[in-house]
Order: sequence, then structure tokens, then C-alpha cells
Amino acid sequence: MSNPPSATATQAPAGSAGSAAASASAASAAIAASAVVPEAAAPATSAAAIICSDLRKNYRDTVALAGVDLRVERGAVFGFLGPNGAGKSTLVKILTGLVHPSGGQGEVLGGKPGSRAVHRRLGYLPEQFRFPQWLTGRELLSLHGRLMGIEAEAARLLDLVGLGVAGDRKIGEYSKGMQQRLGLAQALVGDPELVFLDEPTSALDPIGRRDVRDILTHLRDRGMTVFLNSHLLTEVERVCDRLAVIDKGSVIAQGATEDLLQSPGLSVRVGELPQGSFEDFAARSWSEVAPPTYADGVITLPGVAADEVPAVVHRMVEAGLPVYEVTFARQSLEEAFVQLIREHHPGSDGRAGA
Amino acid sequence: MTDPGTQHPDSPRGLAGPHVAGTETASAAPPSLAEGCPSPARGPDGTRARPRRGIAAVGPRFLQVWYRNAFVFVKLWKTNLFPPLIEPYLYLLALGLGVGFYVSEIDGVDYLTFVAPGIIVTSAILQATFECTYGSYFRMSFQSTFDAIISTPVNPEEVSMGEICWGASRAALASGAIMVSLAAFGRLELIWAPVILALQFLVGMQFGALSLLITSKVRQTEYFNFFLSGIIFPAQMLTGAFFPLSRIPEVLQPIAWAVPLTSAIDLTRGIMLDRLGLHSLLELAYLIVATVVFMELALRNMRRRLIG
Repeated sequence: MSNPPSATATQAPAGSAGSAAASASAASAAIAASAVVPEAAAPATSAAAIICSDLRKNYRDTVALAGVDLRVERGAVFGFLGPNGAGKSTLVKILTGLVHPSGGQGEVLGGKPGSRAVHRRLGYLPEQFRFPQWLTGRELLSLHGRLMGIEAEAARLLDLVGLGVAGDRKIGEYSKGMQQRLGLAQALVGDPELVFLDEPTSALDPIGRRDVRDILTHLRDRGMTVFLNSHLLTEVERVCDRLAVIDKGSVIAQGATEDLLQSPGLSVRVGELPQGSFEDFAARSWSEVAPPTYADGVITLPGVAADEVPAVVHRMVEAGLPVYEVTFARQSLEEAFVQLIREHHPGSDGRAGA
Repeated sequence: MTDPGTQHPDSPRGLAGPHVAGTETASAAPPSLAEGCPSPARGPDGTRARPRRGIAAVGPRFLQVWYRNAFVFVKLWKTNLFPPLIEPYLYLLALGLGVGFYVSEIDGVDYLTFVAPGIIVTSAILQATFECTYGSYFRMSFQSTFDAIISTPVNPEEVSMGEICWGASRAALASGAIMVSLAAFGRLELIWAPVILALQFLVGMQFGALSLLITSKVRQTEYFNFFLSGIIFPAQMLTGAFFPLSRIPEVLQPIAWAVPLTSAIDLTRGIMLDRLGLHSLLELAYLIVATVVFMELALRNMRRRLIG
């Protein structure tokens, strides 16, 4: 395991809470140089990092989880979404051993959630975690290492999250973003195989979010499994390989991120159409699929796959349509999320706390 | 961890496409899947071994929780040490020198000598009580510190024991501070200081455990007012700390003796005034039993509070 070069640490200005750009470069360099997960670790006992089967939790008369089925493969960055009160935190707490389920089965890293053997290989950043303001970042990591029963590699972890030069400053002097990155470093103490992150980017500026994205991507590249619970759908969309959506205690969708994002097709902005050209194009070329539509200077072609776009544009030009702009539109995660919630609960406004 | 490329031949995308509720079921759980609900492990003889709870579940990792609190405390030693060092002196000044001026003798000794053990013990219980009520509650509910700790190999019982021991440590610290001044006033023989300090640690454990038991039940800090105003402060006043128990109505005296604090004060006074006897052993036994009971209840209820 190599330590990042000291030069990277000195690139970030000390004491600059708002110096996200400088710290970003330090973080990126640290990521490139740092080996987060040891090459040899405990043997995998299960192909999946997390398996939930009919996992249930009731709080008296309130059903928090109504039977969750979930599978997270090892090495994945997994996004977990749902409206406020959907059961996200309950599931995370069950999987981290902080809450006992009422029923069903759960497996984390091949073991029972909450068992000491699993906790040794687990990292967790709780939501709304607050640090003792008068400790330094280095001291916090050291204390957490003692709780893990190890000596934390504070310097490496601080470099990894771009806090290399701020490690000896009091946490009270950190910006919110720096504190959040410190929380991420704390979750990585002990090189866990699986890390649960509850809203790790909520207090970060755009550059800080990009830093965290880079770190998460790097962790995945090193084989670490990341379970990301986030309200920020854009972040989840960018960083997660797979995701699940939970609503009212049930997982209503899970799968590869790109598979959950439906493509509405091709959107083509055209100039003034020659008489009958659009009708001719629509009749000749696309009668076998959902027909193209024209409105306000835009022709929409549903169901067009990405590799069909060049041929479609060629046909349009051949048909005499004045093509100005071609957009291959993909549904955003936010749109997909709202659509899923609405489909699951007709009449809902899809209000997404995610 | 091995290289992901070899360790995970089935990449995440190798799974089936999106799973939408109602259209596809999740992978069946393997037979070995651990029960999410309490799943007692089986012992070598095939019988189900009951998971350890309460004091039996405490391992040495509670010391790391204690160390964490101590480390944070020392970082702010100037602020943190001021109240426990100053408050007992104010009591000494007000009661020993102020009230004592008007009381020539009480229970065969001057008032300062009489009240000194009471001040030592009440200082200890207040430190332990505040640490394991407001202090623990803030760490549990507002800072999510306990969540972060429990996600490590430290279990809930060890977290609670670390908190109780830290409360007891603060109790001993406060008692030690007042004992220094009492020694200066000639009211304490130094040879007994370690014994008295150890006794105050025990008292701190007892009130720390009782306070943590309360903490495991409250949902808002305002509820601590009932505990403090309804139990701690009356107990502080009516258990012989500042005047002899003989002054309270006889009908209430058994109740006063049922409160372990009375035994703690009487035992401390017995050590300081060389009035130990067989009753002192009974008082010590009562203190230990009460401490163990409070601790067991606190650890079990905190487990319920922390992990449901």
C-alpha cells in the first residue's frame, strides 16, 4: 500500500475551508497514488455483499419495511433511493446492525448483520453525524481506529479525501464539506470491504461532490462495495452502477442504472418542412414502430436506439427534411424516479426526498 | 481484497436487468442466509446458545469508548475542569464556613467536618448524573456518535459501559478535587483518600448507570427535568448529606435508607470520621448490589434503545 506523495498534500492550502478546488486536486492525486483496499483481504464467503429476502420491520402499528428483497454485488457502487419515510434509513440501520428487523432474512458480507465479524469489515457514515469540534481530523480518525481495534492510517485517509494538510486543524475550523469528507475518511478506517454512506455529499459544493464521486469510483475500482443512500439524484446517477428505489417499505425497482433510465428516443429540430415531406418520411420509414410526431419545429422519434441514430438522420436528410439539431434524449434519474413513484402510487406527486 | 476483475467475474451489470416489483422476484436467499430476526447461534452440543446480554455482553472494548470520552474531555480540559473544581469549593465555602459559623457542633463534630463527606458524595453523583444524562443523550441522539461506534466491533453494552465508567471517572475527579482542599483544611487523612476515591467511583458507577437507564427511556432532553428535580435533587437533600437523618420524620427514615445514596454518604462519613462498623459492610454490599442492578437494567435498556 503506497502513501501518496507528500507533494500532493502541499498543493492544498491549509486552513482554506472554501478551497475546494485546491483540495480537489490533492484528492485526485491522492486517489491515484493511494491503495485503499489491501490486495489480500478476507476471502469472500458470498458472491453478493448484501442479500435481503423479505426483510421486514414494524414499529408498533407502523410498517417501515414491508418485505424488502435486495441484492448488492461485491464491488458495486449501489444507489438507494426513496421518498422521505420510505424506509431507506431503516434498511441501512438493519444492515449495519443498528436496528433489529421484525422478520425476513438479511446477509451482509456473508454474515449476520450486526455481528462483530461483519462489523470488522464494515464502514459506516451515519446521516447527520456530528464531530467533536475541538478534535483534529487526525485525532478523530485515530480514535475511530481504536474503536475498530486497529491503528488508523490517518495520513493516508486524510490524503484520500483531500484533507491531507488540514489533518492537524480542529474540526471546528472545517467547512461543512470538509467535515463531510472527514466523515467519509472515518467510514474508510480499517479498509472495509463494504461501506454504507448516508448522504455523503449533501453538504458539499459541486467540486466537493466531484471529489467524492472520484473517491467512490476509486473505491469501486479497488474492489470495495459502496452502498450509497443519497437525496442527490444527479450524484447517484453519475456514480452508481446499480440502484434500487424503495417506497412505503417495498423495493419497487432495482437494476442497472442505465436500464432504469428509459430512453424517450430521438429529438430532431428541423427547419421549415417542405410540403408533405414529413408525412412521406413518417409513412415510408417508420410505419412499423411508434410513429414519429412533429410539433413546434421538433420531430420526435420514439424507440430509437443509440446505434440507429446515424441511419435515422441519413434517412431524414434523404427525405428532404432540413435537420438543424439532433438530440438523443435519455430520461434523467429524477424523471425516472418521479415516474416510478407515480406508477407505484397513482395520484402521488412523486415528491422526492429520495 | 483481490483484484476486482478476477474476484468478481460477474460484474454488477451481469445481473438481470431492472427488477421491478411485481414483475420479477429477487434472488432466492441461500439456505445459509442469516436470519434477520434474532437468530441464536447453536452451541457445540446443538442447543441454541442464548446471545449474551447486559453485563455478560461487555468485553474489553468498553475501555476504548471510555478512552474516546476521556480524550475529548482532556482536549477541553480548561473548560471541562472548571466546574467540577469550582463547584465543590463553593459548597465548602457556603456550607462549611458560612452555615458552619452558626452551627457549633453537629453529630459530635464541627459542621465542616460533618458536611464534607456529603459534599464529596453529592459532587460525585452530580457529575456522573449529568454526564450520563445530557452528555450521553447528546452523543446518542444529536451527534450520532453511538451509531458510528456501534457500526464498529464495539457492541451496545460496551458503549453503555464505557459511558457509565466515564461518568464514574468524572465523579471520582470531582471528589478528588474537593478532597484536596479538605486535606488542606485538615479534615481528611490522606491515608484514606484512595479508599474514599474508589468509593466515589463506585457511587459514580451507580448513578451513571441509573442516569443511563433514564437516558434509554427519554425522547427529549426536557424529560431529564423530572429525573433531576424529582429524584436526584431530593435524594441529594434528604439522605444525610447536609444534616443528620435523625432530623427527618421517623416514618420517612426507612425510605431514606432505601435510597443507596444514604448508604454512600454514611459510608464515606464513616471512613472520614473513623466510624466504620459492621453496618459499613452492609452499606457497601447494598451499594454494590444496587450498582449491579442499575447497570444491568441500563445496559439492557440501552441495547433496546440503540438497536431496537
